[in-house]
Amino acid sequence: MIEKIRKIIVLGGGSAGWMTAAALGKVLKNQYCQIQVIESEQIGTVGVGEATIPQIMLYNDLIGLDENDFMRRTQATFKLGIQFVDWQKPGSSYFHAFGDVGKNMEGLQFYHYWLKMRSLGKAAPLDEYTLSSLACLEHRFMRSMDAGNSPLSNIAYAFHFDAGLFAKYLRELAEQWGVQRTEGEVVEVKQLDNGFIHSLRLADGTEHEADFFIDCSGFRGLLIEQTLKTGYEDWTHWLPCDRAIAVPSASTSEPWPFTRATAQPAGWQWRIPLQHRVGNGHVFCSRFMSEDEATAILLKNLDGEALAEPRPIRFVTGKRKQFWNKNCLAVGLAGGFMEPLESTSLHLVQATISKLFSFFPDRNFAQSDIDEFNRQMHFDYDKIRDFLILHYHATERNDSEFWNYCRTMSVPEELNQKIQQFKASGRIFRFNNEMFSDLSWFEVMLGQGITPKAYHPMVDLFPEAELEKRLEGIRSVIRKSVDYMPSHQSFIDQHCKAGKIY
Amino acid sequence: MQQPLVLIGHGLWLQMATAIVAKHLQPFGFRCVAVELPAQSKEPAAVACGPELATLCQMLGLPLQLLLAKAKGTFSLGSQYQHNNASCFVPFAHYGLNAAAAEFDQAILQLLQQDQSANAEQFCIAAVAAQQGKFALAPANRADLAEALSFGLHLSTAEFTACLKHFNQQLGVSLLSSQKLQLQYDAQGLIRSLRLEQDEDIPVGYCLDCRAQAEQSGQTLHLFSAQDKAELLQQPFSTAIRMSWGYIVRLPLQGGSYWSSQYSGSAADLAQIQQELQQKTGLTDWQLDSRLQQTEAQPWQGNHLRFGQAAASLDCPLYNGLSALQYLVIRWLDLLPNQNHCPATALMYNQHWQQFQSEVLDFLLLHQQPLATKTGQAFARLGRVLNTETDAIKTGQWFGLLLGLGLRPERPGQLLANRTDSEIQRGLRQVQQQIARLVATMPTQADTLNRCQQQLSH
Repeated sequence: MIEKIRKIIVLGGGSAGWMTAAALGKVLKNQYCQIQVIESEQIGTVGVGEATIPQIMLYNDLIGLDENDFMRRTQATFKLGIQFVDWQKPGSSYFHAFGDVGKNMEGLQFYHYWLKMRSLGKAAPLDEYTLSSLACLEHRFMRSMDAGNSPLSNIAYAFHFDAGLFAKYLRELAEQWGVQRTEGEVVEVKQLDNGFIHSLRLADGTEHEADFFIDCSGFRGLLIEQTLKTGYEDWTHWLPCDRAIAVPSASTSEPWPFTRATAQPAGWQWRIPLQHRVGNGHVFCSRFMSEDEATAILLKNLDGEALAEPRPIRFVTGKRKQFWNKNCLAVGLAGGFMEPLESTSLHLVQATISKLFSFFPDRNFAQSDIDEFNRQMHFDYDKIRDFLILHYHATERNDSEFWNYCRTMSVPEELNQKIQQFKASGRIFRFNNEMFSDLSWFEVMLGQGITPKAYHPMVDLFPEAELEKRLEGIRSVIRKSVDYMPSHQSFIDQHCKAGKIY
Repeated sequence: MQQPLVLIGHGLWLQMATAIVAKHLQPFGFRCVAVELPAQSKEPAAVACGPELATLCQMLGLPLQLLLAKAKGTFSLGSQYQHNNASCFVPFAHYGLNAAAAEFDQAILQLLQQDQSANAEQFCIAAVAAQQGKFALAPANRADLAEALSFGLHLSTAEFTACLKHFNQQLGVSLLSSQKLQLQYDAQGLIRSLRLEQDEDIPVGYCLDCRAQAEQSGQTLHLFSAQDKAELLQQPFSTAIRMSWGYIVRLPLQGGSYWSSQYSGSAADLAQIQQELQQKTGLTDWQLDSRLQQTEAQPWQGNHLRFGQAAASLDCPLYNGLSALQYLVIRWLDLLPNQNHCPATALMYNQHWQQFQSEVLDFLLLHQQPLATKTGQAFARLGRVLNTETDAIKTGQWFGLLLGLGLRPERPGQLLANRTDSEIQRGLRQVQQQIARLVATMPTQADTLNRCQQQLSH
């Protein structure tokens, strides 16, 4: 017997809260059940300027977002990848670019051919075979066009946007789709005898009942942790950064179509270009650096003048022991936190929403469904965690205590195996549902300075001269394709230029 | 120059593993030696190969047409299951015409919920073609159709083995045979050499062990098999008939069919089962063989690859161990070349194998006790096929079997809630009509087999 959910409360109105509410509103149309967002203007959100990965398109498609309108409303720019500066060692730099690297031949990844030719001193830098990397370097962008086999037919991209504006935009859409918004601060959470959450009492004395609660209250996890005591798995021994300082700054140049992550003595600094400003932040480990020192480094490295006071953020990397507990689902920071090094925060929000639809409950809250949901979420978090740890661990940096710690720390066994395997043969071994592709692993492992001892031997079936010709052909096609692309700024101007914000 | 790769075992599994390994590694200077040992148990007379065989043949450069002609082959779009009075088709391919179409399966489930008389198979081109006895190889420029018509083959084991053996001889593999075998280890526990009869020693780089039989004790399995002469070219699929103890599986070949059934219970029941088999099939000449089966979670140990034992742990009439063997060999090849012993690699390999194994076992258990599996439970509640980490079982197979077992979700998928019923029905109707049109233009399996024969003779 199905006992339909009658009402869902989403607690918290940051990016996670409104992404969830908008998706529920769009899909359920307020006909299946009532959807209410409770948020308090008194409680700030963490969102400072958000970078995404191409999977965000799935979410945008789900809610039927008009991309140009969304870009204008959120002061967004396009993103083709992430540039990592000083990670392998001071002075080093590489791109983790979206989309293809070169062109696969004879069923074999391009990078094996490139590895061979590089070992012979006959290959150009990898960026010259990668459309997205080269476009990043030259600040160019366009969406895919119908161009047959050209790499221009398949341009993978994502966005940088102002998270505050994004939440506001989604709120408007969600309210159009019937989601109710209630302003107020929760002062009491009432539970039933079986521990399920029954209702939330707000500071104004009103009480709000629901069958299902979605906790988007951020790090504090008001429902999932403070009420249900779900527990948290701490990953600070692997991802030791526990503080960030964020500050917006004035743009001094046209926006770049990529995020920059620059390693610092006890962490790293992000630079996210938006249309109206640049989002900056310094993620650091308080064991190795004071907040004052971190703030000074951040301010010293801004391109333009700071537009606000630097804002500190505290966090503990890790994940909730259960993302879904009883009738409460944690989404976003309430579920776990991994620093935005690979822009996975919003991806994890949309992954949670997508799984919620697959495992949508009724009022019986079948434990087997909840268990499977949690298993899949743990899988997603753990695999992303390993990918992030790779950036810290695989480094030659020995110029600070922080990097000495990261370089020598023990890492999860599965990551260790992946690194050993890559070192030995240049191969990446992964499961079907891991978020990061073998190309992502390749770009980052190589960029971090892990050099494989071997490439795939099938490459040797190609005569060297023939291979050299083919690589040169690919490089030339990439060059011509990038030449065809307009500048990032002119593409924005033409399609989605935002109004000025004063 | 590397030490030779030595493959040991018998029959089809040995020849298949040898063909794959030799084709891939000989160009890089690896020497391959295959040692044929006495059979530990009788091989089934026919084998059902999944869609991976077509890809494999392409990789090997072995024409499918040749296998079909030499090994009395027929095509297989999936399996027809018969449960009591009901039947269902479990395809290799997906439902609908676009594998990436989001929530298409959910639309079917929604239709089934609204109209109990509706039939999901009309939205699966493989099922519709199979019912009409049709089969066609998709044109080279239609990757979408090739996916929607994923197919395997039914082949006569002896002739298939002979084809592969000939292929291996042409590749220049050293094919030896020996009545006895002794593994010789070095101080690190790695196999140093193999001692064959007449005390001949062969040095070993890697030993690829394709022997199916458990070395120690294991569970005893009883395999019944029979053959008939009825040619079923109008059936490009296998048949699985539910019985009280398990399933009878029928594989149609050119010129006859091969029947098999497996039982793992008490030997005291065998006579009764034999009698039921005769009654159900009308065949009187049922043969009985027994073998030991043991699970193998760590097939890669040092330089010893226990492919046969691992594959045999899954082998049964409903799932051919040859598919598992192919997976084991190809996965290993993807890791091996240019590589010295890297313990991390073996660990990862074994973990992936365990995942593959658990997905196949889950699929098999689903046949017996659907609601005892996580997959069955999730489907019964939500209509979702759980994510799988390997391609051991195709999504269409899970979905088809779950539907065929009579499971219907309690709750429809929520992602379709923003589409009206008429929008969904219109979309489904379009796909159904497109499938019907495509199948109408397809040749029969018999015609396609004739065409393959003609291509071969040209």
